[in-house]
Amino acid sequence: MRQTRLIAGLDPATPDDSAPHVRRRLVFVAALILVAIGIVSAIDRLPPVPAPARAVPLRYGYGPASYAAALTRANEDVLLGEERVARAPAEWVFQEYLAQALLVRARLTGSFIDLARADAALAHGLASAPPRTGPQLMAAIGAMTVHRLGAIPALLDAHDAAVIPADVAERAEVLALRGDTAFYAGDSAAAHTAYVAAMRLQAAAGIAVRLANLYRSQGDYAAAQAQIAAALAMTKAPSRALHADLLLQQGAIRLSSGDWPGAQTLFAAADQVFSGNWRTAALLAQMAAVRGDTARAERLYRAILAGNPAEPPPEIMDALAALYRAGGNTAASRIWADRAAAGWATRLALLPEAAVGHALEHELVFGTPARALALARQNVAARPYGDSNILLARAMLQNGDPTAAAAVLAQVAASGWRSADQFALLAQAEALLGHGEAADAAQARALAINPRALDPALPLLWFGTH
Amino acid sequence: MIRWLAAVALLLAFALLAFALPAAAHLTPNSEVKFAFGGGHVTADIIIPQGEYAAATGNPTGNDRQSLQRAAGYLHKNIAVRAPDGRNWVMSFQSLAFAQIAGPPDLHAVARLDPPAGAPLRQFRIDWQAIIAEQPGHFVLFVAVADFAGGKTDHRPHILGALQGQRRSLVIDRGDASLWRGLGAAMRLGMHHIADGRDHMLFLLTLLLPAPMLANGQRWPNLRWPNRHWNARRTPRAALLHLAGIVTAFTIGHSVTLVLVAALGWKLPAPPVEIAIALTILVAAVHAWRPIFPGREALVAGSFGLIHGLAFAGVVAGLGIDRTEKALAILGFNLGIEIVQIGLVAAILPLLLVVARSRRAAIWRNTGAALAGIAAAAWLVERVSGHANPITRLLG
Repeated sequence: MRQTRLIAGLDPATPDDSAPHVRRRLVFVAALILVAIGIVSAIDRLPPVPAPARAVPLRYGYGPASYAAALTRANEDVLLGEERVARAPAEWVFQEYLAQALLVRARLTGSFIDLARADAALAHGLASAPPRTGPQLMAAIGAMTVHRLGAIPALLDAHDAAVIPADVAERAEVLALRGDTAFYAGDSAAAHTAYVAAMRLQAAAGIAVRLANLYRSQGDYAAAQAQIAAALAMTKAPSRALHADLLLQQGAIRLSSGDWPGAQTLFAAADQVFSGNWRTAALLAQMAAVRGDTARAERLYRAILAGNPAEPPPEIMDALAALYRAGGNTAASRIWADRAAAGWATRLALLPEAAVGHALEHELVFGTPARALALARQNVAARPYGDSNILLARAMLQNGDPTAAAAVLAQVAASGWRSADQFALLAQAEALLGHGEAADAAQARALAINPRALDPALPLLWFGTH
Repeated sequence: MIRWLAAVALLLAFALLAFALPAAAHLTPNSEVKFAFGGGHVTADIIIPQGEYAAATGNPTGNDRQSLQRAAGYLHKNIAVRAPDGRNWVMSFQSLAFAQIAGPPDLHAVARLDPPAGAPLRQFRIDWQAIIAEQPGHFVLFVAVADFAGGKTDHRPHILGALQGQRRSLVIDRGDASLWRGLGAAMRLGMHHIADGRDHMLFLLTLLLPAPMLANGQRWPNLRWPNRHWNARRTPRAALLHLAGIVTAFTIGHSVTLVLVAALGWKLPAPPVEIAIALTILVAAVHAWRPIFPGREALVAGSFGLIHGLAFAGVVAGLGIDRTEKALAILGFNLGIEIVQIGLVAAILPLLLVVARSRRAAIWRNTGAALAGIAAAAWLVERVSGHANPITRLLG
């Protein structure tokens, strides 16, 4: 009867003969809500969420369990190589062995001295090898490591023409190296073709990681993560070092997409799997910095530098200098920036192509625009791919040429490169040109790729975002 | 030997290529100046990274009086705003402090900029030397964050220009402006918001779904059994009145909170409001299936409208600088909402009335209720968990 009083004009037969059972209704509604939420939650769990690489696989294979153990083994290999070369310097096989040992140690320590020694050993090996023999494949790897792209195709051609034909794994690796050459030459399409061909020849974790790198450069982070997961899956019993490196790669992809907590988790997992790696410590230090824990970041950076007094990594000095600068400690920042500058100068003298990109990054932050531009042009000449061109555009901006910077960035975009810093930089160029709407659009694209593309803490991220 | 070496080479190639520590973008922190136009002056919110300020000037960066005076002096010396005829604007700091806003600490200043007599408010040149004179690589971005009279009603900063290196002067020209233009923009904002606000519209539609019917106890009528004694419908006139009552109550409800919250400048956390809105839809969906507040739809619409108004207020808050602009912003926004709402109800009304009198009314009503319930539950899960789910992705 209540309703007839509330609303006039009802149909005549509208009796209200049931008393409301309030409690029953409430229980009924609550149950319905719970069921609905349960259904949606269940549906939400249906699509497989891309999981990070397993933090602790069931079984590890060969290889040292920690950075210290790996370094000990690398030192022993270098000593053995030196001994062999000392006994028979004209044997290219021994030169190759020494070069390989030095490259492995350089990979651990970041030593440019070892890289330069490996370079010299390979040159000796190539010079002393009889026709259609020699360390061409290792030399190609060495050339790739020191960013000497121009030498690689001839070395790989020579390897293909060697007396002893390459087996299928070697041929796949040669194809992958040709893909690398194309990638760093700025030809992503050719790189993709080569990687896919290599994968078809013989699927390998190394090729999957290269594909991940390529997809990441195109802003396809899901595909990149899938390739890293595939790399781990196709390794039956990974070493701890391999597993940790894959976790670092996954973390780096998370950084590119702006997932800082996810990256932090993966870096910490890598540290747990393969402890003592200074590169992992550097990544953890920068994550501490962006969280505002500058004391921890400073402590970690200083520990890394103290752990390698013979050849302290200048990139760590740069990161430390940036940390001090952000906190307003100009004097300390200048001291470490100057030390880093000396470190880069030494490295530039040792291996210019390998050092120029890093020295440029130092110069863009702590140096002069004119010198940064000169280094940027050298860097593009060595490796004319997306990252190098983005740095060139940045140097152009600092030198007051936003028009040229925008043109370079347009070329980068045309090559298929997609990164947040590329579009953030384009926004700066357009803003300097007074193109407000174009700047807004570029900024929106940067944020679409990485929601943290404009985060004020971004300058504290020194490693792993591109 | 060759095979062994090759195997090592493969391992090495993988290691060297894949595991090199990639570098970061190596950005230097930028300065940013956010302009708000309105109220007869311009407000400039200036953020200069503290580290860059210290490196450029060597000045202390404490919040003691001396450090702040030096900072104010530095800014006064290195920032000038001029009218097109060259006369200086007056720059006075409303606040100045070293503070952590986001990320590393900054020098944060809020300056009021007043044009000289007779000079246009929306045209000026800013001459900026701060930091870029000492550090050529430093970048200063200028954005507009508020310009109601210029028709800007979004909350996104619009880039106006930038300075770096030898570029140290920027001309700002915001074009014509009027309060009518602002009112029109606010109306468009309201229309877009309600049109894009699927959850608001779904709530209203779900509440209207059973409105032409008259509940009897725990049931809505079912015309497949027309002779059952509990089947009842409203007459068309009564149904219309009831629908109008619901829509009006919803409008009053959301208008009350919209005006109150926006006018008082309250800042409410969005997540609880969004969760509550999803709950209102869920309750309306259950009611459309089985009546839980029969005859009181208008009362519920008004009450739940209060919640929806909180979400509307978040959109319109911050628009306008002075009271007039704020009032016009709220008015225009609300008008925009009502226009779309009335249009939608007018479009859906005949369908509702026809369906209510069809023999399959129960099927249609229950299907609608189920779909609304699923959508509401999906939004609820998304808003509680913070993660999108397939249904909310489908809903867009």
